[in-house]
This record gives sequence, C-alpha cells and structure tokens, in this order.
Amino acid sequence: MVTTVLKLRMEALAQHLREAQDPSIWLGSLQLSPMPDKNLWFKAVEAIQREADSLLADLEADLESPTDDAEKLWKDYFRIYERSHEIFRESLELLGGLALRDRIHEEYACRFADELISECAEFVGKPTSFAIPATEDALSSTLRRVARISFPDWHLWALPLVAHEYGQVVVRETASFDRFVDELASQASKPVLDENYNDLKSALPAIANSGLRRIAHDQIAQAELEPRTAADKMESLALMLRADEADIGERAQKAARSIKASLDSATNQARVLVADVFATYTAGPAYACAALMLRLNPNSPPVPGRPTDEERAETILAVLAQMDAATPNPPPPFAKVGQSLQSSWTLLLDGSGRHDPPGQVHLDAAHALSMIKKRMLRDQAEFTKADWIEAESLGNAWWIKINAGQKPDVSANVLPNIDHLRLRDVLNAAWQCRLLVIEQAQPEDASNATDKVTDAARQLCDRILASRQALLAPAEFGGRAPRPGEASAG
Amino acid sequence: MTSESRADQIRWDLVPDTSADLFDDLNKARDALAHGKFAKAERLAASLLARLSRVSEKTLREPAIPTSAVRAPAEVVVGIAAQRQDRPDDGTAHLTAATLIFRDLMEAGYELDAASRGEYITALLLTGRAGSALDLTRGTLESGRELSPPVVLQVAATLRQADGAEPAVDLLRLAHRRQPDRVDVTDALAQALEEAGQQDAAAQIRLEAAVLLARQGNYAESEEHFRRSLADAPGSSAAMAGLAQLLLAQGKTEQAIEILQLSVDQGVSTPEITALRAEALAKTGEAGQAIEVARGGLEKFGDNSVLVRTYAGVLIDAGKAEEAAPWLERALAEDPDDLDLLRVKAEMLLGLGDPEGAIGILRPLVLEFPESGRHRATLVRALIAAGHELDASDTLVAGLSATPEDPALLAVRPAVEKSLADYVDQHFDETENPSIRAALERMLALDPTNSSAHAWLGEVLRREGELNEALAHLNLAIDGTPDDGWVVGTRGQVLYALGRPEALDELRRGVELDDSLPWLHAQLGDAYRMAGRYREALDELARATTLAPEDGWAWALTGATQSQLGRWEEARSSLDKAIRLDPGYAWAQVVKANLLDNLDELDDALATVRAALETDPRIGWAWGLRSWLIDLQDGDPVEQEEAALNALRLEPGDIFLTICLAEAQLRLQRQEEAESNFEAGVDSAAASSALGTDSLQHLAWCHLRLRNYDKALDCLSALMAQNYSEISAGYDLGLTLLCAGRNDVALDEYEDVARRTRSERHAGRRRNIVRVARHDLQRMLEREQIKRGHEVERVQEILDQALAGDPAREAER
Repeated sequence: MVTTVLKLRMEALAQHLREAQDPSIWLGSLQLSPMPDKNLWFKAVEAIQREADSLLADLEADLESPTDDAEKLWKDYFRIYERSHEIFRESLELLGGLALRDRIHEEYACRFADELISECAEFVGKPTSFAIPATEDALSSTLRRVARISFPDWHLWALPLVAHEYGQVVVRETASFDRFVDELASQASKPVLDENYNDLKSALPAIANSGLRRIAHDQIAQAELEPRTAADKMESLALMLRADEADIGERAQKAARSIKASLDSATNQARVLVADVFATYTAGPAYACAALMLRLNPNSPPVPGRPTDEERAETILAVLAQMDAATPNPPPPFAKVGQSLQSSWTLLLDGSGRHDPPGQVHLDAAHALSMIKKRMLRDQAEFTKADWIEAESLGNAWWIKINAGQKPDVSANVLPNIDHLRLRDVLNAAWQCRLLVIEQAQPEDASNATDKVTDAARQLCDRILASRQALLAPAEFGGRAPRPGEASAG
Repeated sequence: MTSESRADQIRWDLVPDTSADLFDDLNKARDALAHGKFAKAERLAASLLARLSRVSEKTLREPAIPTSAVRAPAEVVVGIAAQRQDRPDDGTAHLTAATLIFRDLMEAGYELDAASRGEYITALLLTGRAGSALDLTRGTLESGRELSPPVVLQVAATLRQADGAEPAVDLLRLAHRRQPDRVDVTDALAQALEEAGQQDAAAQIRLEAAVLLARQGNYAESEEHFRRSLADAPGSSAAMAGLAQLLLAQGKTEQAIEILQLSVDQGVSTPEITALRAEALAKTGEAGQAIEVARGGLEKFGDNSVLVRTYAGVLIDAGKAEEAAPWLERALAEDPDDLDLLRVKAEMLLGLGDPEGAIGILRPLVLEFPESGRHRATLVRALIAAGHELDASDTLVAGLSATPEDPALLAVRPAVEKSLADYVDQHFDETENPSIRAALERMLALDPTNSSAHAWLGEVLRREGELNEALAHLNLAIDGTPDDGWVVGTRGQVLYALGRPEALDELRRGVELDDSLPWLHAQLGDAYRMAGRYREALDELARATTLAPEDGWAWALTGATQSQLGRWEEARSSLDKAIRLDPGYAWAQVVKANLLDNLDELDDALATVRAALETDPRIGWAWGLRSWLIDLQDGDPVEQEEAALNALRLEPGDIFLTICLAEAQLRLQRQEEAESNFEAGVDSAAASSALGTDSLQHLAWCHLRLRNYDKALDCLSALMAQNYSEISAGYDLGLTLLCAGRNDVALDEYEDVARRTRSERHAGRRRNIVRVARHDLQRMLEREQIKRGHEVERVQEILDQALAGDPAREAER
C-alpha cells in the first residue's frame, strides 16, 4: 500500500517535471508582446531544464527500480520533491515576472535593466540576460539566469542593483571567478573543514580493518587537498564504512553534511561579495548609492549563505576606495561620494544600535578588483574618473535647474550628442543630483525635486535606448532558399 | 465698304505679336458663352471682331497665324447669334458681321477649312440667306472640298422647309455620293425621297446604307436601316435576306428566323432566303429541318450555288461531312474561288478531323481577305483543333484589332481563351516551356482584366527571375481576386525574393486565406527561418511536408532549419530525404555539405559540395564552403583560391567569401593581397546596415587578421553578449586575447568555452568546433608573434583533450 501511494506520487511528480523540462510551452501561452528573445529565453531556462532533466532521470530510475526498500525510495522521493519545488517556484517566478512586465503600462525599469545588463555582458563577453520584476529573495537564484528588479525598489533608483544580479551570473559562468570564489569559500570554511577532518582522523584508529583504515585516511587527505570535492569524499567514506564501522560511517556522513553546508554557504557569500565588486567597478558610485541607501540594511537578520549587509557595504566602499587609489592623477574622483556614503552608513549602523558579527568570508577588495579588471574584455568596462566627472557635471547642471524651480532639459537641443553615453552614466548623474537634493533642498521640496530628476533621467535613458541598435540579425545561413526551377537560383 | 477698301484697311494692320491677346480674349469669350454670360461674350466678341477686321491678307498668309485665329471668333459670334435668337437684332448684327468676315477672307483668297465653311454657311442660313448658303454648300461639295455633314443637313432642312423635298433631294444625293457611309446623310436622303414620294428609291438607299454599315461592323445602325428599308418596301427580298443575314451574324438566330418566316408567310422566296432559313435552323440545332429546307430549296431552285453551299454547310454542321463533300465539290467546281464555299470546305475538313487541311485552305484566304471575320473565325477554330493555341490566339487578336465587334470573331473568342487556359493548366509545371508565358500574354491581350492570367503570368515571371514585372502582374491579379490565397502567397513569394520586409506578413496572409498549399507553407517556413524564427519555421515546414510528403524543397528547408537549431541528426535525415526526392536541387546538397562540415565529416562534406556545384555552379556560398573546407583540411591552396574567386564573382562583397579568398592568399604567401582583402571585408561590413551574427564574427576575424585586436574584441564581446549559442565565437575570443598578449584571460576564456562545448550533445559537432578552433590557433601560431608560455600550452592541451573527447562519455552517448 505504502509503495503504491509512493509510486503514484512519483508518477505525478515525474509528469510535472516533464512539463517543467520545457517552460517554453508555458511561455507560449502567455502571448507576450513582444516575446523575449528566443536565445535569451533558452539561456535563461537552460539550468532549469537541465535540473528537471536530471531529477526526472533519477525519478524514472526509482520508478523502474525493482527494490522494495521503501525507506530509501521515500527518502529519494522527498529529496527530488524538494528540488522539484525549487524548479517549479523558479519557473513560476520567471513566467509571472514576464507576464507582469508585459502588462505594466509604460514599464521602463525592466527595459532599462535589460540595457544595463547588455552593457555589462559586452564588457565580459558573456551572454546577456533580461530582467523581471520579482520579490527580493534572500538568495539569488541558482537556476534561472535572469536578473530581478525587486518589488519595493521597482524604479529608476534601484536600477544599478541589476549590475550586481548580473555580476552573480558572470561569477558563476567564468572559470577564473569560479575558482576565485572556491578559494575564498575554502579559506572561509577551513576551520569547519579542519574540525571535521580532525574529528574523523581521531576516530580512524578504531577501524579494525587496516585496509579500510588506509583508504579512509587517503580519502581525508584528498579532501584536504581539494576542498571542492571534500563533501563527496566524505559521503563516499560514509558509504564505505556504513556496513562495518557504522559509528564512524555516521560521523563521516555528518562531516559530509557539515562540510557541504559550510562550503555552500561560503560559496554563496563569496559570490555575492565578488558580484558587489563587479557591480561597483562597472556601474560606479550609482551602484554604491543604490546599495547603501536603498538596499542594505544594518537591521536585517543574518541569513545563512548570505554575507552580512555590513560586510557588503564595506566591500563596496573599499572597492570605490581602490578605484580612487588606482586613479593616476589627484584628486581621487570617488572620495567625496565615498565619504558621503560612508558617513550615512555609519549613521545607519549607529542608529540601529547593532553591529553584525564578522561574516564567514573575508574578501580582499584590492585583490578581487584586480581579478575583475583583468578579466574585462573592454577598456570601457570600468566606470572611470572621466565617466564620473561627466556624470557629476550633468547631475550638477540638473540640480541648478531644479534649484531654480525648473525642470532639467535633456532634449536633443540641450544634449545633441548622446552617442558616447551609456545608461550607467545617466544613473550616476541622477544619483549625483539626488545626493545634492538630499544635502541642499528644503525638506518640503525634496520629493518634488527627486521626481524631476527621475523624469530627466528616464527621458535621457529612453533617448539612449532609442539610439541603440536592435539585437543582431539572425545568421544568414544559406540565404533565401530558391525554389527548384527558379531562374535566380543562388 | 468695298472689298478693296477693306483690303486696304487690312493691309496696314495686325502685327503678329497681338495674336496671343487675341487668343486670350477668344478663350474668355468661349468661356463666357459656355457659362451663359452672354453680355460678356458679346462684348469680347465685338472686340475680337474689331481686331480681326484689321487682319491683313498678308498676315493671313503668315504661317504664324493659325487658321483657328481667324475662324474661331466667327464661330463664337455664330454661337452667340444662335443663343440670341430671341433678340434677332443683336443676333443678326453679329451674324452679319461674321458672314462679312468669312466673305472677306474668301475674297482675299483665304482657303477656309471645313469647319469655317460650316460656320459661314450656318451664319448665312441664320441671316436668312438660304440661297447663298445652298450655293456655297453645293459649290463646296462639287469641288470635292470637305464639309461637315450636319451643315449639309441643316441646309437641306432649310430647303425642304422653304422649297419642298425635291431641291433637298438633289443636295442630299450630292452629299450622299460624297460620303455614302454617313448614316445621317443617307437617312436624310431617304426621308427626303419618302417625302418626295419615291418610296422604292428610299428603300434602296436605306438598303445600300445597311449593307455598307454591316460591312463596317456597325450592326446596330445596319439593322435599323434594314428595318426601315423593309418598312419602305415590305416585300423586299433583298432587305429581308440582308436583315436575316445580319441577325444571324449577330447570333440573333430567333429574330432571324422570325424575319425569314415572315418572308415565307408573305410568299417571298428566293434561294438566298431559303439558304438563310436552313442556316438559321441549323444554328438552333434543328439540323434535320435545316437539311430538309436546303434540300427543298435545291429541288425548287435547282443547283443554285448559294443553296448548294448551304446544303453542304448544314450537312457538315449535322456531322455529315462525307455526305456534304460531293455537294461542296460540285459548288466549288462551279466557282472554285468562292470564298464562302472555301470556308465551308474548311469546315468540312474540320468536321472530318483534318484541321491542318482546313488551315491550309483558310490561311491564304485570311491573308488575302483579312477583314473576313467568318473565315478568320473558322481558321481560329482549326488552329485550336490542331493544337496551335498561340497561333489561334494571334489570328484572333489580329482580327479583333481590325474589327473589334465582328460577331464571328467574338463568338470564337471564348474557345480561344479556354484553349489557352487549358494549355497553361496542362503545361504550367514545365518551367522551361516558353510557350506558357506566351499563352498567358495572349490571354491578357484578349482580356487585360483576366485576374487568373495575371496571377499565372506573375508566377511564370517569378520563376524566370523577372521579379518586378511579376509583382506588377500579381498586384493586378490581387485587385481582381483579393482573397485568393494562391495569388496572395505568390505575391508574398515575389516580395520575399525581392527582400521586401512586408513579405513575411503577405505569406502569412496567404496561408490564412488558403492553408492547403504546401509550397506556401514551405515558403513561409523559409521566411521565418531567414528571420531567425526557427520554431515557427519548423511548424510551417511540418505542414508543408504533411501536405506534400514528396516535396524535396520543403524537406531541404526543414533540414536547413533543423541545422540552425542544432538538431543535427534530424537535419541529416531531412536533407537525405530532400536529395533523394529531388536530386537536381543543388541547394539541398549544399546545406547537406554544410551539415557534414558542422559534424566534422569533412571528406564527405567536400565531396558533397563538389557534387552540388556540378549540378548548379551558380550558388555562391557553395563555392565559399568548398574554399573553407579545403582550407580546414590544408588542401590545395590554389583550388581554395579559385573556389573563393568563383564565389565572389557570384556574390561580390560577401564578407565570408572575402575571408575565404584572403585565407587562400595567405597560404599562397601573398600577404599584401590578403591584407587588402581583409580590409575589404571590414569595408563591406561597414557598408551593411545590420550585421547578422555570422557577419559580425567574420568582421572580428578580419580585424584579428589585420591585428586590430581591440576592434576584434569589441565585435566578439558584442557577439557573445547577444548570441549565447555561438560557441565558435568564444574560441575566436580566446584566440584574439592570445594574439593581444592577454594570455591569462585567454586561457580563462578557452576554459569557459571548452566547458560550454561539452554541453553540445553531438559528438561530431563538438569535434568540429574544437577542430576549427585548433586549426585557427595553429594558423595564428605560425604567423603571429604569440607569447609562448604555460597558458598557450594549456590552451593546446584543452583543445587536444576536447578533440580526443572523453571516451567514457562518448560511449555513454
């Protein structure tokens, strides 16, 4: 009876996974206008498909398995069930985000975000992505390759945060960044790993079988050398010892879980921090402003696998300082904005009355920045001093107008040549102006002034987008196929 | 004022440069007259008259002053007078002035044209000088000069009112002799004769007019004259026969029978009328009765030639051609040159199944007597029966252009149109048959509004590559049949071949209107494919191959689309099917060669592309593929260069083909030429408005070869950002980074792209991607100053490992 119920559940789950293998079927029924670019869509759901594929294979193997080990089957079922639900949740969020994006009247945040992502993608020569509106998650998705614009911050001011979202994608998809993250995670997890190895090592003499003992010793030694595979090594050690040395096998199993949890958590934290470095480097002070003034919160409770907001703020400010330090001629361009953000953040921290304990991962901002810089394919990737001077000057000009009770004019009459401008330049100008509004405007005028900045920045972004070329034309493979018998063949 | 003094006055007068003003005033006067503004017209006319009176004889002879300059003011004046008959004083004064002008002009030796004479005579009549008018009219007619018949009729009417019918008869006889084909003159003469009590003469005149009009093809007027002639002389056998013949010729058989029956009822019986009755009965399908009437006539009138030929004719119509033959021969023996007999003989031969014999008789007759519609019509039928549809059509069109209303020709026209349409229908798939186009052009000559013919011709022209002409015909076809899916789809095809952006929508509309056309689904599929909408393309192509499973073209397109989606083995199967179904369709073979190249089956790819080029050497990218395959296999660089040159001859400016040429030249150690071609590649990319993904990668390659590493990186990073599936671009990116001296980042990129390569499921495809990458790296290492070190060694190692593959993984796959 138990097995029958289990089989029924497995079959139902398998059916759902089959459907999830190709979320394009659901996408087609949404009738979006325009539809997302097909290439982007397939890239976005590639990991979902792969995961669904793999879970389905496991499930089908279990369904065909002749075993009567109900306990094992139930365990497998729950494992697959949990992972499946992550897939379904991801798919739902992706499709819901797309549908929402399609239905919002005069939606601009996602459009601008797409362009920002595209700019970043060209810096690193990685596939671009697109943005959807979504609620903020503690952890970034590991399945879909799509940037979120989180619901409360769904406006122009939060747009720079997209650089961080895409940064996480880049970190996952770039071998050197991936290795760097692994190194950081290994370093951060070293105490946990060492504790587990030591515990196991102390138990090894109790293993009666000398051959088994020798193998266990080797496995631990290899795990110490390759932290990336340490959890797997402990898992196989646990399996090996399960029959003859149940206690030690149980300890190995526990060690595997502990190592995996520690490494996963550290890896996630490292990724977030490296993505912060990427975002600050490419989006400049606008990212720092958006992150420190809108997103990071010293009062937020600690989340496993997530660096503390304090750590993130430190990283971002440290990167700005490093970018200043790397600028050959004084004055350091970002010093002023950096100091302003630093003091605001400090006030926030002091106001919250709490300082987070140091996180698991320690990131050397200078080293991380040099890693990022080295991997960039284009000189324009860095948000430079020259970029900031231009953005500052544009933001200052807007403030002068606003302060005089006027609206900033970003039409072609005032700014005829915008070919050299990127969206990040506009966002930096907007943030510069907003900082001036915060500092200098009367409190009762601030809201109105901020609206004016938003309008000006939106208009300018729209102008930039309009001047951009569309996606590349499809490959011209074979040209138009002539109909047999046509005179103009070829 | 005497004529001399007037001439004297005239002598000093008008300078030519006033003529422009004169015309202006003249036009104003005409305009005023037309709008009923009489006072203004009169004022202007008076001024004109005053100025005209100053026209000297000398000036009149100047060619610079046109005749109308003189005549027109008088015409206006006469017009005013006619309008002002309620004010006789004014009218008379102006008319008198006008007559004086005309008289002075004539006395001055000026030759009035027909219109001016008409105005002069009208003015004379209106001023009550009928005698002078008659003299002038008679003099004009007798001298053989032209005169408008309405003027003559006006004079005759005045005479009839004033002096009775006799003088009018004389004048009208004179006019009738001058213009015997003028119905109004003939009619007036007949009326005058009737008034004068000369009914027979009137009837005869009408009969003559009727015959004349019938010859001219003016059947309605002719019929009217016959009927009025019959009214004047009710027992006239000639009128009855003529009218019946005319009615028969117009296809009004029932009416003809009525007339002929009337003649029988009235006891009027002649061989001609009997023959016509037989003919009419034959036309109504009463073959037996027709034969009986004709035979009765022969018995009554003896071997009358008209009856003999009619008897033969009705026998032929009744399918008794053999029985007719001796009668016909007998009639022909009597009159071997009788046109109608010869026609009947031709009909007989047609009935005997010998259309060529009929053609042999009729063709010289038609050449000699081109106006004979009945002979031409019979010849047309003979030509159709002999299968000479185009000749038949030409013969008919020539006849109709001379006599558009000829009933015999009009009667045979539907048969010609049908024969042409049948011919087109039967032979339409013969793409090399030039007669199809000729037949359609003739169909349109017969009926320029024939939408089907426009549509067919549009398709023929499309096949022949005359796309703009094709589009023009299809536009006309759509005007006539806007909801015909075939026509809309064909137009979509032409727009697609012309590269017009609206093609996709038009093809889609065609499918919406008619989803049963496999070629239309296939064409729409190809349009989707070219737009990069591969899944929609496959949907359409699946419909095409379902509707026409044996259509090699649709399978080739399916294979091409599957290739572009990376569904390699499905593509192979589709392309094999396409080639099996249509071995002569070279494009499918080239796509197959391209597929084999992608799957690393290089020898087969080269053999396939060579075979394709033997089938059709006009496919530029096939030459390019050949050049590329030779390069990839380190084959003969001379052949590689030749192939690239052939390709560029067919598709000049294509960036990929330019690269093929430049790579060959590099292998031939012609560095400068190669660089120049890489530069040409950059220029051609700059000239294009939107680059495809392939072109952008090729542009990057040109920059790489020209050592413009930053530009190459820009292209490749943009390409990688926008098109994630292009793994080979990742290798190009790694290579560019190596060349640019950024070895560590290059290694990183090679590692990333090697990881992505592993996600390619097809082992052959994986191998080919890596083979190309290794080939490119090797070439660069030979030629460029790449900094050697552990990174380069590691890159080579990565590529070697990837090329060797993971045996366990391969086995699993």
